[in-house]
This record gives sequence, structure tokens and C-alpha cells, in this order.
Amino acid sequence: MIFSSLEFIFIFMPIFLIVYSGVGSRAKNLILFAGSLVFYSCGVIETPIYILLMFVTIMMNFLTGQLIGNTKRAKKFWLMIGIIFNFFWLALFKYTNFFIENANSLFGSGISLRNLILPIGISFYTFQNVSYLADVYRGTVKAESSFVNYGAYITMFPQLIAGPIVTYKTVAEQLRKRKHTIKSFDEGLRYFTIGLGSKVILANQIGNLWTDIANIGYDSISTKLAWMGIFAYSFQIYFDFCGYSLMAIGLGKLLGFDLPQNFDHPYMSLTMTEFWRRWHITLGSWFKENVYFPLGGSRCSKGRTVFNLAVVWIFTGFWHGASWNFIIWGCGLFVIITIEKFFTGKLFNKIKPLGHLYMILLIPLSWLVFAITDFSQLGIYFGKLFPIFSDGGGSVPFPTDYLKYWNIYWKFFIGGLICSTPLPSLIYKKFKKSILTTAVLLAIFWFSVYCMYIGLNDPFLYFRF
Amino acid sequence: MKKFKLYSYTILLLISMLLVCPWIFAQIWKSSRPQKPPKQNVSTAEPTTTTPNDVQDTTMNSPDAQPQTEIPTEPPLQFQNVSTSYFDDALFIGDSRTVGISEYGTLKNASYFCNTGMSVYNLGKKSEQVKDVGNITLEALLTQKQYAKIYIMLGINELGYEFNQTVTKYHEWVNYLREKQPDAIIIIQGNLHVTLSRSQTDSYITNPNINQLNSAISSFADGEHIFYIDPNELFDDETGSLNPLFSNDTVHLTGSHYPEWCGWLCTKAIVTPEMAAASPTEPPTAPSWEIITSDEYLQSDPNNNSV
Repeated sequence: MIFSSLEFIFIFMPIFLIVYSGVGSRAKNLILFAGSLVFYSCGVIETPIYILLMFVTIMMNFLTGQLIGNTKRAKKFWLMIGIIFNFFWLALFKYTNFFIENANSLFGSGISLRNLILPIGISFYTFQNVSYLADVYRGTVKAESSFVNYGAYITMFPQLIAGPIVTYKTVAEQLRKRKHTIKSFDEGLRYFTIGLGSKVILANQIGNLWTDIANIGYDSISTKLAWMGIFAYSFQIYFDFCGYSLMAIGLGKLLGFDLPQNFDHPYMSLTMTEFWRRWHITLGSWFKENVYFPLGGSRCSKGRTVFNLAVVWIFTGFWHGASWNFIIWGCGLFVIITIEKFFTGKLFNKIKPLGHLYMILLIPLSWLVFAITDFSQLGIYFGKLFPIFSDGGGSVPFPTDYLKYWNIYWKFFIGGLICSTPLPSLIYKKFKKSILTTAVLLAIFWFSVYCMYIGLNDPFLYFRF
Repeated sequence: MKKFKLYSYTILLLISMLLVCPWIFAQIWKSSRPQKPPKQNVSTAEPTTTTPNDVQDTTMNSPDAQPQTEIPTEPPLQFQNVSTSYFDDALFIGDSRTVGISEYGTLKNASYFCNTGMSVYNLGKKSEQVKDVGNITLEALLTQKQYAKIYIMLGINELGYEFNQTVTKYHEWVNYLREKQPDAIIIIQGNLHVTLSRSQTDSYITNPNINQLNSAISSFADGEHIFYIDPNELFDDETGSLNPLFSNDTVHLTGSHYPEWCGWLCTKAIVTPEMAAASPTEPPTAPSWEIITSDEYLQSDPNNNSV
């Protein structure tokens, strides 16, 4: 069950909110825990053992946290136990087939691939559990003494599937005491609507162009369409992910939580370094606190700093997916960020138009390596983008393809471009209380619902060939 | 030891958690066994051989459900190989699959009246952009221009509708084309299959449904003016479904496979005595296409090797 689905908005949410607001503040975490487990169960209905695994994971981390927090000598031992436990399951589900494939191609072994279904949100909740244990170990927070509170924190449905990666320390206090006001409730609904609109009206629509291009086959597209495609994908991934984070923050507000911001207009960045401070902020913070700083960060020799950056970015790449292209992508980011750190960063920050131009080219290209997992297909796409490096990109059977798709998608490109700037949020902040803003939000909500409805329930409108 | 006692319950509970993990692991590992390849007979698709795909089949092996189809007394016309100029005076009518032929195929000389979502239910209602003509309705186009060959491929968008109604409507359109363009031959193309995975998961868009429709529309062929050809012979895999290697979205061919389709259309040309009379050896007003042998065709189209 995703947030941008009719069953979530019209069935799960109303029922949950009625129950949640009907109980006293002491029982709220229990209801949140139970409701989130129901939410999680909907997503893993075909593999019910995952519910047990989730329960065991919570219990395990809760107990390990207790042991780390309450022992003196064996802290490190329990921390290691916890880390190994958490990463074991992540590695099992996410990376087993990757390792089998590589072992097969390296040693010629014939181990067959496993049909492992990734439990929903495992990449996110593994990081939350580990950061909790690390924070307790470092003494940043006290170990949570209530199993229900910890369970509610990990499973909390607004952030369970796709983040933000809410660290325990940011919500520890709110888990015990939080305010529920009409104002924050209203604000939450507004956030949710803006996120829903980003996902359904912008990301899903412009994402169709990327799908269209894949369906045509990269070898048959023109250079102009290839460029349109990677810009479309860049808008899709941003509005999809940012929209989901906004929905999560909005849902958090409905429940009385202040979840951390995850995106800050990243496409306005002047350098890749800045971009990653403004894109998926909670992931960047996680790596900074739990990998980069413990390794020494940049308070050491240049060589060591470069090594630390390499570790962080290769792991960031690998976290995004179990495929070589993600590792290459991470390595690419490492190279770019290192060059910026020691050479070009200052220049781009000083001459802003140059920085924007640099990022306008670099962002879509970096997403291309992220988007296409097959290397031969990636090569074909690069050949189309830069026909000068391939034999002219081959003949193009439909040279005016870009005009056809521009006529279909131009409005989403313009919308995407405007919404990538801080302009809409500035206007929103200024006219927040105006009745017109409320009307616009209502229109966004119901138009999104309409899009979801035709997408799901009416094959005669949606499945058009 | 004192401290252990203090935390003994926590530690034991933790150990018990760890103990249950191998069991969970075993269960997950067991259930993650690689899936067996789909059985050959999973698809209930009718064997393609029962679908008429050449003139003789069309006339001799009409489906049992349509016994009234007349067997022509004249010797049936045979499919011939032609060069692409054969399509200079051809009109293609169809849905997104025909859009694909127009955009990624090699028959740029043909005319196309096609659009995504086109069906027998909306064919006459919307105007389309036609090369050298402009935005025009089908009726106006057929009044304004005369074609020698009309290719029609519709049906996949209609699969959710009532079957007999669709077939009747389709037949009405074929009759309409005959009426508006009496000198043209009409070539009905069977609907391209979808991949096995799509067929097994979709409620309407299934290969059995496509085969049922193709079988019904193939019976419109009379071997004289109306013919039926089935491109599935080109793109099917062993299960009688669209080969997933040729499609990324389970329904459409990827762009690079449309030239194969066009090459195949060049081998499925109908040359009536009237057309043959107007052969390329005639004065300049005559059409410029020429009948070529299959060897010549194979040499001229490298894509054909993969057929």
C-alpha cells in the first residue's frame, strides 16, 4: 500500500485517524505501532513471515539497545552484534543475487539465483536501527525503555517505506510527548496534498516519457529525444521521491510528529557537493554521522579524507541498489565531489551561472547511470546523447520523434522546471492563509485522486494502445 | 555474574530472538527457490497454424464457426515479394502498433491513418494527421484519395468490449472500406500477440482473446478483394506469445523490430492482375514497384535474417 493509492487515502487513513484520535495519549504509540504493522502487513501479504521478521528485528534492536545502554564493558560487543544482525538481513535480501551473479561470472559456478522479495522499507529501517544503536553507544541518546515506543518508532508508517530516515534522537522526545493541534493537523494535510500532487501529477506523468523511451528501445531514438528523456527522468525521480517525503512529513504532522525535511530544492545547487546536502538530506546525514565522521571525516590528512569520501560514496551507491551501475554511479559521485572539494568547487560557487550550467548537465547524466542498470543499454544511450563519440549514433528511423513527445509532455517539463525552483514554496508561504491557496490545494488533491482513479480502475481509459 | 543476573532476562530474550532467526532464514531461503520456467502449455493460445495466414489458408481453412465463407472459384491469388515502392499507394489504418510501423518502419512512402487508442468504435469519429493531406477524417480521406491497397489492423483496444459486437463493427468497417474504395484490395492484419507474462496477468489483453478475435476477423477474407495476414508468425515465441525479446512493454515491439515487420509485409503482397498489368515496364505513369524474388528480397533486407 503506497500513500498515493486510493485504498490508503480512503480506507486506511480515515480508519487509522479515527482510532488514533479516539484513544488517550498513553495509548497512541500502541495504536501507532499496531496500525503501522497492519500497514506493513498489507505490503507483505504474500510473505507473512516478513511480519515475524519485522517483529524480531524490532525486539532484537530494542534489547540490544538496552544492553548497550545499560552495560559498561560489553557495549562494543553488543553494538557489533546489533550491526551484524541488521546488515545480515539487508545483505540477504538485497545483495544475495548480486553476489551469486558475480561469483558465477567470476568462477564459472552455476549457483542459481534466489527468488528473494525485498521486504518493504528494509533499506530504510535497517539504517534507523543501526543509527539508534550507534547513538546509544555514543551516548547521544538514552536507550528506549518502552518496547511499544521503539516499535512505533521503527514501524511508524509515514516513514516506513521510503524515508525520510528519521533517526531515533530526532523523535525520542516526541515519542513520549507530542502536541496534537488542529493547526498541525491542517498543516499536515497541506503537506500531504503537495506531496501527493508532486508524485501523481508531476512525477508519474513526466515519468511516462521515460517509459515511452524504454518501450521504443534506446537504439531507435534521436539525440534530442535522448536528452529530453534524461531530463524527464531527472524530474520524475525528484518529484517522486520529494513528493513521497512530503507526504511522509505531512502524515507525521497528522500524528503529532515533526519529521525532518528531506529535500531542499536540490536542483538549484551549484555543485554536486551542495546537491547532496540538499537531496535526500537524511541519508546524507546518516552516512556523515555513522560512516564519514567515525572514519575521521575531513579532519585528517588529504589522502585519508579522499579515502573516507570514497568509502562513503561507494557505499551510498551500493545502498541504492545491488548492481554494478550503482557502484559506478557512487564512484562517479566520489570523483566529482573530490574534484570539487580540492579544485573546482570554489569556482562554481563564485560564478553562479557557471555552477548552474555545470549542474544542469551533470545532474541528468548522473541520473542516467543510476537509471539504466544494463551496461550495454547504458552505452547505447550515451551513444545517442553524444553521437560524436559513437558512429553518428546510427540511423534514426523517426528523426522528429522529439517533436511528437514534446507536444505531449511540454507542460510537465515547464511545471517541473518551475517547481524545481523555490518560487512555488515562496508563493505558498506568502499566501498560505489565503482562501485561494486552500482552493488550489483542494484542486490538486482531487485532481490527483482523479488521476489515481483513471490509472487504476478504468482500463478503457488507461490501457490505450 | 551479578551483572548477568541483572540483565539475564534481556540477554536470554535476545538469544531466543537470535535462535529464531535461523528458522526464519531457512523459511525465506526455502521460499526463494528459483521459479521453474513456465510450462509450454501454460498459454491457452490456440495454435497459430489454425489461424489463416496466407491466401489459400484463408479461403480453404476458414474457422468452423463461419461455414458460410465462400470458396472462390477463381485460382486464389498468391502472396508475392515486392519492393517497398509497392506501398506508394497503400494506406495503413490502425492503432498504436500501426503508429509504430509509421514511425519506426521502413515504409515511409505509405500513407497512415492511425493513432494510439484507435478502435472500431472510434474510427470514424476523430480526424488524424495524414501525410500530404493534413488533418482529416477517414470518410473525407477515402472520398478525396484513392488507394490501391488498404491495410487495417485494429482490435486490441476492443478486447474489453463485447466480442460479437466488436466483430460485427469490424465487419462493417471492412465493408465500408470496400464500398468507398472498390478498386483497392484490403489486407487485414491479425492483431499482434502480447507477451506470455502480460497475457497471464491481464484480464482482457490476453492471447486467447487476441486469437479468438483474429480468428473471427480472418473470416472476412474472400481471397479476391479482402485478404488476411498474421504478423504473429514473425514475432511469436514457442508459447504462441509475443517474444519478450522484441518488446519492453509487453504489448508493443521496440523500435528496432518494425523494419522486420515492414520487410515481412513486402513478402505478403497481393498483386492483382490489374496491378500486374500496370507493371514497371509500362510508361512512366505506371507504378514504380516491381515484383522481386524472395532471394532478392532476402539480400536486400539484412533484418530479414533474424526473422
